[in-house]
Amino acid sequence: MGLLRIRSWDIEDYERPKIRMGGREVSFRMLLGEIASSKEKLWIILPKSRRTNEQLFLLDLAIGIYKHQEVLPIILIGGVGEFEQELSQRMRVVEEAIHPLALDKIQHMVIYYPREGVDKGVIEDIANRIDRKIVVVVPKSDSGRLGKELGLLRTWLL
Amino acid sequence: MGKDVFLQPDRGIYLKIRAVVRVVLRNPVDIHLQIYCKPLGAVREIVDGGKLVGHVKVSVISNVSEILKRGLLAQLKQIIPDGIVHDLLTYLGRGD
Repeated sequence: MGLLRIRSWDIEDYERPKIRMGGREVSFRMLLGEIASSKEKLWIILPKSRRTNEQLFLLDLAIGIYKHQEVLPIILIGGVGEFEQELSQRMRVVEEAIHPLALDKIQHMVIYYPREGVDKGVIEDIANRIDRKIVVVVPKSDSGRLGKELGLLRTWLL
Repeated sequence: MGKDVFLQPDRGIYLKIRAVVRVVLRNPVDIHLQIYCKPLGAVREIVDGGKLVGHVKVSVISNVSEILKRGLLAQLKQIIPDGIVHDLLTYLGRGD
């Protein structure tokens, strides 16, 4: 199961990155609104900040989606090959927590933070295999290379 | 919002309407229930085939937002140290 190495003092140092869409800077709230209202299934975010900030942005995004859109994010962290196992396990945890509601009765989506080594084909394959909206926050180490490969996919640069 | 529900005697059931509510049947009978649960907290009639057969009281357990928070918290506790979950929820996710 994926874990993040975030310490309490990291939170105080966190700076929300500038968010650019199509070369235009947009607000965090606008990003949340776009993700929630768009019919596009796959969103890819390419961070350009240090690792801790990148991980905190992942959580910032998840909490923001919950707070502002009343959509439950399912947060996945881990290796590409473990995606479905991780998703299944995380869904069980969520189902227990939200009982008596069932996950398929509420709006939800996936926020995925893969380990390094993810490529365009893997992201597309994952998006094709699941039936809900997915936001992929690509690790910084992969974001430069992936940014070039993802020409046709819609992406956000942080 | 109309909702068809099958109730068992003396048992609560759960409905998702505008919030998650618990409906307790006062009459110990099985009926096919059509219930109108707005506003929450009200006593509502139980109608079976157009005939009034009893009343239910609709009590709020929690709203959907609170349930979503439970789902989010359960995940955060799995991926980050427990001690900073509250701080994260406080600091992050704010608007502009």
